[in-house]
Amino acid sequence: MKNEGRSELGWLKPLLTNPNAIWIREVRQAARLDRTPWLLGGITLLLALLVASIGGTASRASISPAKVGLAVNQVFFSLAYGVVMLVGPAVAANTIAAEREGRTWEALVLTGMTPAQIARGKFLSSYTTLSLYIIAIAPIGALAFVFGGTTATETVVGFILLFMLAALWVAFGLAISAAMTSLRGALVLTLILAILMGPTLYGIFGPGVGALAHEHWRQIPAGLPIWLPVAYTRAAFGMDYLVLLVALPFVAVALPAWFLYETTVANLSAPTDDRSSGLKRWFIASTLALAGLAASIPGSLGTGAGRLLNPASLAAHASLWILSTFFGLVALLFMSEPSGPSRRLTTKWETKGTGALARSLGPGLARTFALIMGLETAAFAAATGGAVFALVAFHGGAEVAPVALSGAFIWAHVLFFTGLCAWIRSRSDGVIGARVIVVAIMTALVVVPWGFAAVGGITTKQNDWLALGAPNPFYLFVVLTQLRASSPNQILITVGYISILVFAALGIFLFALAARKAHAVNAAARLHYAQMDAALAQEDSAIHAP
Amino acid sequence: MTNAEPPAISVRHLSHRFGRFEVLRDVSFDVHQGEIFGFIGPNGAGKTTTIRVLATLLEPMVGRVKVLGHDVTLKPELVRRHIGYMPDHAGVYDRVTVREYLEFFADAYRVPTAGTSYAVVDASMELTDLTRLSDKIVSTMSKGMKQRLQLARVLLHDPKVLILDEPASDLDPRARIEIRDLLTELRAMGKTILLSSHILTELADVVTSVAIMERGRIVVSGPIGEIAEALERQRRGERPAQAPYSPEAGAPHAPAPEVPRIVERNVKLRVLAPFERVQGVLSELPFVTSVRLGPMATVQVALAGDDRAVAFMVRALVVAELQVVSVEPERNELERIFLEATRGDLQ
Repeated sequence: MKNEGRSELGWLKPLLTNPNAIWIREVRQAARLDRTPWLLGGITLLLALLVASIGGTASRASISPAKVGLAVNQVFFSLAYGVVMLVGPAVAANTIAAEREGRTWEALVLTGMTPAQIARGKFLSSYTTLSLYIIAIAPIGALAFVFGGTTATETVVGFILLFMLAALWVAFGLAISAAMTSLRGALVLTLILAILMGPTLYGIFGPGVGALAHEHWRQIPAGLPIWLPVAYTRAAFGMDYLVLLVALPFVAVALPAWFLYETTVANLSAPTDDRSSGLKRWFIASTLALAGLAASIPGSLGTGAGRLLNPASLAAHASLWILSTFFGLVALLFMSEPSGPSRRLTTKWETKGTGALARSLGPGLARTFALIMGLETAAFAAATGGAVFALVAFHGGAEVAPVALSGAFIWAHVLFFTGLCAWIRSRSDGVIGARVIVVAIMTALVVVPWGFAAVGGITTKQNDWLALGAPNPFYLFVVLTQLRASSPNQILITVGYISILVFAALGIFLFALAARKAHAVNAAARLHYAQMDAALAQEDSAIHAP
Repeated sequence: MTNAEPPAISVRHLSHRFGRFEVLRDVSFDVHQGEIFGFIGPNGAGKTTTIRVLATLLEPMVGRVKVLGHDVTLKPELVRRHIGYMPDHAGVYDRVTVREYLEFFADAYRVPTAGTSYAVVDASMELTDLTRLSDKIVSTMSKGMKQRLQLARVLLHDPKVLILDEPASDLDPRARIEIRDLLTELRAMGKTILLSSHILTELADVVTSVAIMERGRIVVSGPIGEIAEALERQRRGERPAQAPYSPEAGAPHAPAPEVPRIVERNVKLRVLAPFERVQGVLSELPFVTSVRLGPMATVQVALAGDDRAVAFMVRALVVAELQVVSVEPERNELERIFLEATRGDLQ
């Protein structure tokens, strides 16, 4: 790193004149890797042959050239996604685990490079390598222009999205690599996860969401897996365009990328360092974004023009379940929190004069779970409120009660789950074991009451038995069915309301127990250090006494 | 070395556990500035754990560890600026040259450079005699050269304290000697060096002070001469005036080693006379317990006594008009201290 000041190049100056040392070193190493040109050439050739043969076969059938062009474009980008999905994580998985296995990690850490700098260097080097692959296969994408049916803008947008997805897959590989010490383990785990997740995500966000997009904007052809570039050029501009095609994809890429980055940095940091603040900033931003989207999407869909039955209600329910999944994963994630900040971190805060707000984002079981519970409550209130507003404004107040009940019911169960996570964590030493216990309890809550309800219902042929299923989060569907029924079962509905109160109270109670335990552990640690310091000070004065 | 200066490394009541396994128990010792401090102990004694704490890579559970006055727990960033740590069996990067490797670490350490010139890299390579190998790919180098490269790396940011974990392990004799010479040179440059080893001959010629560790405890620590004197006093049955390392010297007590009152010592003699004549003279001495012919025409004598007994034995040979060429202990001082201070049971 050359020590030069900033000049007219502004923020680019450090990147050009003071590049990340890891990035430069790893690119240099990659350039000397003999297999890289062969791999690049092989993949490019294979892809070219595949796309050309598909194009050739299609052109011989009685399909219009424009359709062939679109198909070739879709096939190319789908295959390119496959390359990115496999090569990106594989390249990234190598990087950090290789340092640990190769016993170069400690030397690197002791240079004073921060975990964030190391993560950025590793990301840049892996991303540079993956970009080489994308650039190498890019000319094959031009084959579609031979037939037409696709525009240059759509292709350019396709590549931009491909580069964004490449960044995500590299970040994913890095996050795994940062948590592993074995190179082979990191590579195998990353590839297994990539092979499982990649096609699933492709199916969901490709043809799956593409079908919904076609429902909403008929200008987008049906069944396209790579529909987003087409949607940008062909969908009518409006509020829905901004929310669904700009904000939502941005959030869908930015939030996971940010999460993976913070996870990598946290895993590279020492256990007694601050591994929490970054992840909490991500959590707060994600909650704001998701709650904002959940509150605005039902309204942005308008009346739905009769295509979907009450799209606002459907979107509201989907949003609430997505929020619950998000908060559930967040609660499991933050089970790795220690009882409180380490002595090292506390001293650092004191030295730097860190303010109360920044400290509140630091490690600590009680403060973390209080934050989660607070944001859960705010997010569910916003999502439910937004949906209710949309239902009143565009649908004459239809479905308001079911949506409001869903909001409260899911919130209460999420609050309970969060409190449970905090409590179990406060009582156990290991994180993985604590997570397993939580999952086991939740599984029991889902399966056992439902089993009793089913047995009772079948035996007596009475619906009332379903009330036993109330501890199960999916009991919500029973209550919703009753709410919409012409002659509802009031017992089942009442039990639903009671379960909201009980689960919310239980969640808060468990959290309070966890917070008390964490405070006790922190107080004991402070006392231990105070006693140790006093003993050492006494010994110091004995040594230095004349 | 003056004890008035604060110690370069101060370890006080350090304890650490891995799960339920207590790996360090109340470890205390000081390393003074400008010393080459040998950290000795069998494999599994806790040397590497102590060293990892010193290098800020492991936070101690109990105790206080300071490097140049900075607490490793509370100010790890400051400590890292002042230490050069060479781990045991450290790796190197593939497909980079010696110069590129060192330039990378110079960048990572943010060592000031002028333009594209890395003067510090050149100086480091010169000191470790790597200049002629600057364009060699590091992964193709021998172990000895890789160790030199590691030393060059830890010197890049001009640390005041070097912490070297088994720096000469797996090296051939020539490379060991070269590393030893380099350490002496670094000491002359004012560096404080702590090096661990379980190979005593590796350290015997270079260290000024030692700490001997066994089963997670320091069994003895201090300058070699002082420890030897203390042991000698104990052999004579005297209660030591002070422990090998005293509070006045700036460090807490290390427990005095428990040694037998009379220890039999072995001495190697070279005498220009037939073995039988030498044996005849020595057998008459009451403190000599055995005399036998050793390799290379040496005579190995076992005797129960201290240095005065050795002197008396030499005088007896001279009086008998035998020409004594050399007298040396069968083991060097460090080995003797180690054997007497430790019990030999591994963890």
